[in-house]
Amino acid sequence: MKTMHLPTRSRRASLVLTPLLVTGMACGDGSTGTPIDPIPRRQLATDLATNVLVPTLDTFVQRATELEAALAAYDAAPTDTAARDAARQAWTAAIDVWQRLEVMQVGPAGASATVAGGLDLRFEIYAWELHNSCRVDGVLAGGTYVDTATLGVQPVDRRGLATIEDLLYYDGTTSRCAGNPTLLSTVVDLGQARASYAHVAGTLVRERAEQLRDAWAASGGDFLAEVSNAGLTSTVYDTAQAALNAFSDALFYVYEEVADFKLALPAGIAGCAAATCPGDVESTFAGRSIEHVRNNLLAFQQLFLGAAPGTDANGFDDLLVSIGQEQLATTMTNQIASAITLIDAVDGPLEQAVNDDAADVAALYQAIRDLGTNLKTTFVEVLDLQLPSAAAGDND
Amino acid sequence: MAPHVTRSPSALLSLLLALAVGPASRAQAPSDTPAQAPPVDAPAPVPPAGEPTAPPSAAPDAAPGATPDASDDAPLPTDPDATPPDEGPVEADQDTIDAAAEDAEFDESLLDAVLEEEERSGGPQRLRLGPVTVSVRRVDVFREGGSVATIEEEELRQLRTDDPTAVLQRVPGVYVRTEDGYGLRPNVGLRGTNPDRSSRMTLMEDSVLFGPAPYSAPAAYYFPLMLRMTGVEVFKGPAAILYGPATVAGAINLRTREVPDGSDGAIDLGYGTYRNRRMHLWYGASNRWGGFVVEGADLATTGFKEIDFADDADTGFHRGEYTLRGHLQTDEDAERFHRVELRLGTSFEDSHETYVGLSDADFREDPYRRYVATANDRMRWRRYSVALRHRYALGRELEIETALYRNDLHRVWDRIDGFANGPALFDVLNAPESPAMQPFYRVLTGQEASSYDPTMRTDDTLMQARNDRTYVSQGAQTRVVFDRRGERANHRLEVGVRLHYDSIARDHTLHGLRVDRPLTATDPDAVQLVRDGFAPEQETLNRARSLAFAAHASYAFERANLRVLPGLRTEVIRGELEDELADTRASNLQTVVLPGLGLQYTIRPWLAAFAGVHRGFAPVAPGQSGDVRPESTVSYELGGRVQDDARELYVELSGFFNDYRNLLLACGGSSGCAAASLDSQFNAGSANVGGVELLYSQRIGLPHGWKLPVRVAYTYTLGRFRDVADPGSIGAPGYQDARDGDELPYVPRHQAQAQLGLEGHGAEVTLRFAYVGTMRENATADDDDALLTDDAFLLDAGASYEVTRRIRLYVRGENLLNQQVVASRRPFGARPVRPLTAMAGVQIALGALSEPTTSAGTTDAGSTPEAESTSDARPTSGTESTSDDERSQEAEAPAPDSTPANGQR
Repeated sequence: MKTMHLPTRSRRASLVLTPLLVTGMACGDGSTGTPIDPIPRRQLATDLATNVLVPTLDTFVQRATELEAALAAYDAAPTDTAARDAARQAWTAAIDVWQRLEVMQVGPAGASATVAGGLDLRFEIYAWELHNSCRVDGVLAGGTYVDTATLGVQPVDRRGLATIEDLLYYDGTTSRCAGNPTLLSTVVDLGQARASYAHVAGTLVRERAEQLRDAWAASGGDFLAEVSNAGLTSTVYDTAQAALNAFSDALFYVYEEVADFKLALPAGIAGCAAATCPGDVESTFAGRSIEHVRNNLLAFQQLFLGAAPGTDANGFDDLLVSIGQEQLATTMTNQIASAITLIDAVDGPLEQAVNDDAADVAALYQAIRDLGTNLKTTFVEVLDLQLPSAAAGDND
Repeated sequence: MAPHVTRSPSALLSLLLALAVGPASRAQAPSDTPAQAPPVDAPAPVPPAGEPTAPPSAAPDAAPGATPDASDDAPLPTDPDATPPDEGPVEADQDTIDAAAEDAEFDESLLDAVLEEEERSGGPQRLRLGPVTVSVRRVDVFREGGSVATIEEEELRQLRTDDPTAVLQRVPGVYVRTEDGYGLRPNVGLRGTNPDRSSRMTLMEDSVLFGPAPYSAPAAYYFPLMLRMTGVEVFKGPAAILYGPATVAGAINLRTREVPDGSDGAIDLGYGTYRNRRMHLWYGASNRWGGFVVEGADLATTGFKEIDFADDADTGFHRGEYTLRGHLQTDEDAERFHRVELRLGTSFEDSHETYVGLSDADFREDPYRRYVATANDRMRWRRYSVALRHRYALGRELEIETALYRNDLHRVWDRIDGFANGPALFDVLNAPESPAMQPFYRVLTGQEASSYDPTMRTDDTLMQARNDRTYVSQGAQTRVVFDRRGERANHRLEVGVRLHYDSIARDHTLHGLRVDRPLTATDPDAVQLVRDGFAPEQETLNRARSLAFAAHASYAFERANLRVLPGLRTEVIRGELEDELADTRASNLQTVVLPGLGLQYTIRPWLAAFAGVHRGFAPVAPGQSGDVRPESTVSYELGGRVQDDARELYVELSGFFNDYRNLLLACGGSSGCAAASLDSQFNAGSANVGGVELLYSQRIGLPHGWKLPVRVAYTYTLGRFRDVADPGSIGAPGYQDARDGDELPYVPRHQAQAQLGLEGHGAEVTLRFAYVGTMRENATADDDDALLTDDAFLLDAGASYEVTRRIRLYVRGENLLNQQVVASRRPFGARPVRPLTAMAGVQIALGALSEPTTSAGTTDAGSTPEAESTSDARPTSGTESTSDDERSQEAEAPAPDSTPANGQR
């Protein structure tokens, strides 16, 4: 678990919860009160799932499988630098895709307690905000990583993609448990232990990824049918509006997590007790925090446009246009593109940029906040969508 | 055997028709308690106007129409052989008649003599004519226009519970969400109001607001010990506008012990499971120029919960309340009467209470477990109170009572409030095994140590709040009652004003606590809580204050069979919040006018119908944002009452509908609010709350002097949001996702209580069944989406036996079925009801006993030491009280050794 200088616990709590608070409990329905749109909302939700979410998920499963294989090779040769580098590359490939799925926490990926259809799978795969290096060292010292059954029942703060990053990039012998810095001294072959631990963790990630994919697949949980039958036979979404609201809620990841916690916190814009908090970046070990933000925004863009730029598909922008909100659609499209462009202006890893290129980081943050403000206000208003609870309680 | 007195309704009506009743004499008038409302069990149907009724003698601090009871005072001291007036009432119309025959059949000729004397003397008085004592008083007319319930001292005694939950749930329409299992801080709701910390109730002790700061911080973190109470009054319907600040649903007034006539006292000592000890002592004496009563109540237990890794830790509480009350007065027989009374009180609590409950899974395994994280949680407070009252009566038509009061309360609650940077405890315990919550759950339960970083506070550090609050509540209030009776119509006017000031100074800090446990610990005792070494965070440092002027007027007009009871209340409130952390100061001004109207029509002497409408209001606390509006309702009620004195039967059926124009919700600590949002208020929008209340009470006579009292109370309530204001923006826990049509949380659709007893020959046995239906803990439309409490079906029992004339032994058992149900999941996690508990004790009368006279060997409740000890504490006397016990006394002539109500012989 990371240590952070956050002034208020409520904001930190929202970091944990906001991705989960995708209630999707809109009160309207395409047939009962919600305006009749040229693009039916059920259809739009289905298109977003079919054209964006599921393909991205399929890609991630592939990357997770490749990661597991790379980690197996590293486990077999823990002293082989090439094997470790290959594992790191595989991890990077996997996390890049997963960062897109971070913005698509609809249904099974979400928290079971708060998200309609949620199965907690996002946290099983990547719970960076909960990651705890001391706990990882505890697992290493205790040897409780020997197989997926042993590791799989342990809290997510010591497994998943964040833990794999830790194991692949941190090679120190000093424990991150401040109260017990010699904890790792009892581990006979620390390199082997880390490689084996990463391997088992990689297997768990792959299994959870497949589980998530299967949850959407017609041959599995067929959650796609829940979306496409929202308001009809779906047992998850009572209305078509609720299904679309689930995707809308997912977009708020950019507004809350990306802007406030991935950028504002380390940059010292908000939530940091010091001038800056570079230790609180997302990718502490691999230095890919800014790339994570890029992938988050790209996913947002895909959901908003319905596909990558240049591809014609139904997206939120089309729905906005269809109801006469061309200006808003254009504005938000441009805001997304602008924010992505601003990422390129940030020099170096984020943990350095927050000190060395603070202006560009601040500009990026502001661009995302501006986008989020439109999302929170006009966007949900004109589409008669509900705010996720965490966003509703944020009075800025 | 005591003779049985039977009085039919028609006989009673005839009796009352014969009464020519003037205003109460001042000798009877002074009472520092509100006049008696119709008791739970038997408010009387209303006589037609023009019928002779007793005059008003309302204590100025009582509700409009309240009439200090003739029997409030003791039998005239000139007759040491007088029979006590604590025998049961005979209620007819609005007058109550208390007749007690000592050792003879009821003789109506004696009563006629009384009535003649009444007429001759010009007012209702307690007279002694041979063995008969009769008192006459009028039951409050305004209150009769609405649903009002009283619980008299004998009922409280029979319940033998120290938990206000069991007491208040006797009243249809009242819901209590338990929290600690002991009722230390009950959450009381009424007719659909949000029960959180009873903040929508007007709570009074002897007609003075007892909440720590009713305007500035309405959450009632203090609730008096029931052990000290001699009566409870619950006002619903239009009567609510007579009390403020909250008039949305109603008010509760707790009555405390009066100075006895002569000398009297009692000791109550009990001991039970979980080292539960109960001590209660009171003693008082008086003569015609003054008197005093001193009282102490002390409760303690080591608690029924066990803290992980600390089996011997105390989870109970120790509470004590001590009062001294004295008065001086002028000649009762003079035209002008004055009484000055001073009451001093101090109370304290030291409880190991926490806001943290259990996850559902842990609850099902062991509901009485407490996580190690709560080991240091502790609430401590001390309260001081002083009240100076002056009563003045001029003639028979005018009474004025003025009261100056001040209550100071300082409390410190150290309690786990959450994690340094983590999800809310409620969320953790709601889904402890979910990946997002599991790491925190493991720390909370001591399965894993908190992370440690010497340079900064880690996310999973437990944050213990030290919420230090200092409250002041003070004011002055006056009531003026003018009553005039005419040949064709009666008029009664009451005007009251109150200038009230209260304040709360909050000093809230958060301290970091780490669960310390070696990573490989196998010794469970190695788990402990340690300070994390970082400076505490100052969460809140502010001071809120309110200055409120309130005035009310009520006018009761009665003619023929109809009573019309209009009333009006106004509140002008200036609130201010000074936030030292933000260096801001905000103030607001609220002005409101609250009309109300009650109607009552007597269809038959035994049947009356009533209806009422009033506007409800609850003020906005100081410091809220400008768009927060007061709670506002228009409330309606309609009902009917049946009373058959011959059968000792009382039935009341009423319906209510509250049209919430704005539901005001607060984010309070007791509901699980995050520290950063603590005490914020929100507009929740409009809502409809409706329901039906039923009360059935009958006392069935059995052969050989036994009685079988039966009582059933049932409430159906349904509350739904009509139009949620800004859905998703309500910050109060449980309401965040409220949508139109959602059902309101913490209002059980069904609630019932049934009581069955057996009394006679100095013994009594009581069984009480209480059912509270499942409640939502979040606003939802469907059960499937709702977090629900469990259905609770609880069985309590009590028994006592009079060993000697001074000594009565008793036993009581609570939750005899040992039901383990989730009573609430707020603030953080599932909370249980009290487990099976038992207590045995003894009550010893201290007052002088009358010489026993011969009877058939039968005693009744009125003859017991218990009755002795309580009789003089009936400020408005048993004459208006129609509790089961009292009616028993009425129906069954008192045993020869009955103790006079005033302890005199």
